[in-house]
Amino acid sequence: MFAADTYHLFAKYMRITWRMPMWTLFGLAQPLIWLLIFSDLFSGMAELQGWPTTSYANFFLPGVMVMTVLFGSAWAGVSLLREINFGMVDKMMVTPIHRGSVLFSRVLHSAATVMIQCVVLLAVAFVMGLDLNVSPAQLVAGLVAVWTLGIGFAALSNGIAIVLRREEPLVVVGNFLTLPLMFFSSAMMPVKYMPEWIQWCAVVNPINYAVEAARTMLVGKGDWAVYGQGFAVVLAFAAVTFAWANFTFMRSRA
Amino acid sequence: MIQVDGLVKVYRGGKRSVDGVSFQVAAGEVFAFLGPNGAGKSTTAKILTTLMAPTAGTARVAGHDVVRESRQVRERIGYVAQSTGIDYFMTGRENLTLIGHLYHLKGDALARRVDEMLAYFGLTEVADQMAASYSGGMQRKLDIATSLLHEPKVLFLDEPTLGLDAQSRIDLWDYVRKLNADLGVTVFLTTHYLDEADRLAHRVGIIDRGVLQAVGTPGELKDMLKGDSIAVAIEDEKARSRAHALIGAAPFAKEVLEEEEGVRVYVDNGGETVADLFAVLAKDGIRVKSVTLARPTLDDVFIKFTGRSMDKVEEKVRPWWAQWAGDNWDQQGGEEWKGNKWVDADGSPKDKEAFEAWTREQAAEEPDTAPETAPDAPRKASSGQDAGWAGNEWVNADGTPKDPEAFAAWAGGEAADGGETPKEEAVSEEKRDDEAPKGKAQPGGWAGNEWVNADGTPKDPEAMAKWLKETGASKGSK
Repeated sequence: MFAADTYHLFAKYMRITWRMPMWTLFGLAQPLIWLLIFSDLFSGMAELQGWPTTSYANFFLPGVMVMTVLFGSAWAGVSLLREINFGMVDKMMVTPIHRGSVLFSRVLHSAATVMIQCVVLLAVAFVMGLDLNVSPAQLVAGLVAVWTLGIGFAALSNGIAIVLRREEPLVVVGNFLTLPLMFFSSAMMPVKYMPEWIQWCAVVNPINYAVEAARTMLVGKGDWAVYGQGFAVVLAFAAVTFAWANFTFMRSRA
Repeated sequence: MIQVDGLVKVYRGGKRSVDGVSFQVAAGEVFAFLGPNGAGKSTTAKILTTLMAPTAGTARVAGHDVVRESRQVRERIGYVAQSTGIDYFMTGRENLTLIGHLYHLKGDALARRVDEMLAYFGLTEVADQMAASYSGGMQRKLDIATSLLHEPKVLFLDEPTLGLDAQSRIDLWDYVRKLNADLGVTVFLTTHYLDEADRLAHRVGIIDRGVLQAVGTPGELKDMLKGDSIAVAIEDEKARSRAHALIGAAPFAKEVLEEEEGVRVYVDNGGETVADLFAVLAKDGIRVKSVTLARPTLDDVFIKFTGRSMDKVEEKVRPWWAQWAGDNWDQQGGEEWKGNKWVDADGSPKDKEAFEAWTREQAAEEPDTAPETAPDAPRKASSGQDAGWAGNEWVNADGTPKDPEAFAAWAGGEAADGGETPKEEAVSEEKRDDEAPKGKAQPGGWAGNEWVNADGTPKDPEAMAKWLKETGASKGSK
């Protein structure tokens, strides 16, 4: 019943998102601007010795997709608080649905809206003439890695929301997390050019693995070994954060 | 249908929200939990609907344990929370269909059930409009409809009419009665509206500070009080004592008191007795200026069991900063004012001499409304205040001490000096903990609005006739 319950709730959230596509498109504006501005701003970096790709824009594309995930899912918990306050969560919890599907449908939906944005980003990148891999398997694999990161991050945001129980501190924590996580990854710059201490930060940063996995599939060599390692870490991150969020959720209702 | 045994809920902060509550609700009954905000009503409802686990005690709903067999319980109950849990960005039909899916209804059966519910609640026309465009009453109906899709055996309504206008409230009451009569749904209702419990429930449980104070039909609860009171105003002072004697001899009078304006009679059934009363007085040619009939309300019952009036219990809203202020956030800020160094909470001076002077002043100003602080006011008037005050920890409503020894002394003193009681002493010494209730001469402040009278009957003559028929019918079904 877990799958069916999750599906019905997920369908509900998607339907509401679909009714207000403006917000999804608004969320897309920022990453698009970054893609355009940063590609131009840092275009000279591609001339550095040993730069992995032909242009900076090519290198940055997976990074901007992960940024979209971070900024798009960091506030996922806000709507959970709203649903709790409006009694919607109670309404779900008195039905005989599988307990885990309440949160799982939410994080799936958060990740899915981000995924819509990522697909649009890919299309824009194609139009911009970026050097994308054209193998469907590689593109799907790259997007799956980004989606999984979205699930993990949305779960983290939901869990923090349950702990904090207020929207304002949640926004503060979200802001506090997203920027360092992004800069301590290879989203904007290859790890080998970073100072050593930041390299160590990148090693324990799940964002870094998501970027690497997406990069090799979308614009890189399509190395399945690199992808496998990166995806495994991202999957573990998502599993741990979701388990924690769901545990916190169930405990808050005891 | 509901069986609760020694239910206790202690929140993580240490607050005992529910403190050993036990009761039963029979199948087909409408049972109301009546109490002020923070009394533990909603917590009990949340435990019974499996939304919360009890700290101790057991509860069985529809034959299943709410903790060990929560799934079976959920399949058999409907829950309508204080906040309407419907999604405003979906239509009424979509809301119903979603919840139907969550109850594992499928396909045609679900679609049919959704249509049934929409029709039952008169929402068919707006079924495909966004719920955000619904009025408060319609949203509430949709909310109730979602909780009935799976044909539950028990329906839980947590403050269902909170924030609704008078017309929607009456509308909703009709639906609850109808549901109960048509579908045989057992209803568990929490409310802090006295009239709601009184008019809707077959039985009422009065809860305060997490403890169930009394359970019974509204009639039974009111019968625990003295009964109806009839105040007869008589202009001719000489006639009053004659009236007192005449009525006192009449079989219907339980108690007769002489008051400033006339006499007050306590009887079992005020409405039926008024005619007899007039007949008795007419025999002696006593002219009656006016008659006021007061029925005891559930508020009087609440006062009897808790020593305070429902509307005097202030709502303690947990402020948003409380989560950082720790568990004792209300230790300073939320506490009621209990007076300062010189005066008590009711404004009376703490100094004994000053207090005596003050009580004389009070007595002179309003002899009727402050009998408990007015030694000179006639005791009769004080016991006439049946509605407002039911005594505190130390004294009963009639001013007699609760402590057996003190009572004996008081009785002796009363006999010796004819009415001088130790009650004022007790009150003045223990004043600071007394909530200083003022007598309430007229139970029930609400006097109706444009459409309905104070007792909930419609003002429109046609509607009144209809209402009479309906209430007659619903009483029959009880």
